[in-house]
Amino acid sequence: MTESGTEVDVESDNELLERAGRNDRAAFERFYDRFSTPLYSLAVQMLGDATEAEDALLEGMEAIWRKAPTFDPSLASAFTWSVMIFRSRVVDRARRRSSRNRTREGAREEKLSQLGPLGEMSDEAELPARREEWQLVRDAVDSLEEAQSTLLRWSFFDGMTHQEIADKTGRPLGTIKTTIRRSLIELRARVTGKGVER
Amino acid sequence: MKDLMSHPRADEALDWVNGLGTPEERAAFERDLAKDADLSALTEGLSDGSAILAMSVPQVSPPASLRAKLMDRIAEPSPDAKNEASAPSLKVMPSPREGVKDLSNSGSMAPRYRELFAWAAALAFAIGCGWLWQRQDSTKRLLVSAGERIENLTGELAKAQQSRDLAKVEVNSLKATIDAYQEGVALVVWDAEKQEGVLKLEKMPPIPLDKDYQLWVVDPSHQNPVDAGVVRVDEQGFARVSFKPSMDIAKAEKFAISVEQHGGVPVNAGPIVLLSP
Repeated sequence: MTESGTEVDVESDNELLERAGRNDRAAFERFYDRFSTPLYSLAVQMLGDATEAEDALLEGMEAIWRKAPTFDPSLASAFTWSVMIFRSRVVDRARRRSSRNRTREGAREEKLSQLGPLGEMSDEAELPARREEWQLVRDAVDSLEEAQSTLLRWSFFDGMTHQEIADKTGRPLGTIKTTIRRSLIELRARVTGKGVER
Repeated sequence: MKDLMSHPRADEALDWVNGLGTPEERAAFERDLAKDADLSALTEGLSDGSAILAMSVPQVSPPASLRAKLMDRIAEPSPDAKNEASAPSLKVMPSPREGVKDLSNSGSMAPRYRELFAWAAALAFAIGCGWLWQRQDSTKRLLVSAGERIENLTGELAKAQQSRDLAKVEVNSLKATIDAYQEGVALVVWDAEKQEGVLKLEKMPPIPLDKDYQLWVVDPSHQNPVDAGVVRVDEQGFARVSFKPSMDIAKAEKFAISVEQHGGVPVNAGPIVLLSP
């Protein structure tokens, strides 16, 4: 790969996923090395079960591989796109075992701000940058109001529908959706400094 | 400056980010994004927010064996490859080789053999442990206390370890930390090289239906104890299970059993009832 005529040895996430979309298994292996830890971590958080998270990672990564030809970098970054594909698979899996979910609800009642530290990363070369990035993200999440944090957790990690959240809180559906949207935008603004005003 | 949060299609944007809608609805929304810069900017913001949220969880590396499993899995043609190949949103035509297993890539077979070998070794190891445990069962009538049983079994396993040249295998007996578990016996055989082990529990007290016993590995290189799985005991309080921790273990300093919510938790929250010295 070249960039401005100079050889570089690190391909962007988007490039790797686009190559995977052209049936390049080596690129997908590299993609896996880069993203398996964050996606597996997401599955562990959502399912609360390491063994089931392993199955979810296999299923989700396979879905990403199959759908890679449809990846459009103009719509979302490779990571964002992968999270969308992966998370919806994990939500489906969690709903299939909804009875187990109910018994474990209490286990996930911890605040987002109480989540633990960064563990090992697959790609040691990227570790310092990723650690710094992770800390930035943690600080942003910690700075959200508790009500925002709770709604995001229910929606994003616990896979509750907006209607279920509205029923649970007794608040109007529109208010729930607006709060979640604002919280996501606020989170992005705190990390990247970008708002959504034009 | 206008606030895009009040965009009339803001709800649709959130649904799209959440992966909702049929493929046709999603494709239609994506086409509209190209025509509506405000909607596109809002959707990008929501997508980025979701990705940031996904990154905020504690980072845990998956077991190394999953990589080879995945690569074997994607070598097989998808059951619905036909449907996906005809999807209108495909940007790239499938390669003529798509769906055909790449036999020239002999490297992908090696992990499979290694994995089979590893499982065979684990099975042999478990059978060996089972034999030792059966011997233990036949002699335990002569033993009076739980402490004696542990000592006897540990000695046998240590001899087996020596004779089989399993230098990496460690045997750990766990002690009760609270009175209600004084009768409980727990033994962990840990293979640091294979990053897996066998746990045997005996005489564990009954546990409420909404709780489970969970095994943890204490490793100084990790801030929190590492999850090694949920352990379910039978009516006699007996269990024998193989386990593999959720993260790589550099040094298994201690093993612990706690009482957690049913199904287990990623981070220890309940009381530790048994702990290795």
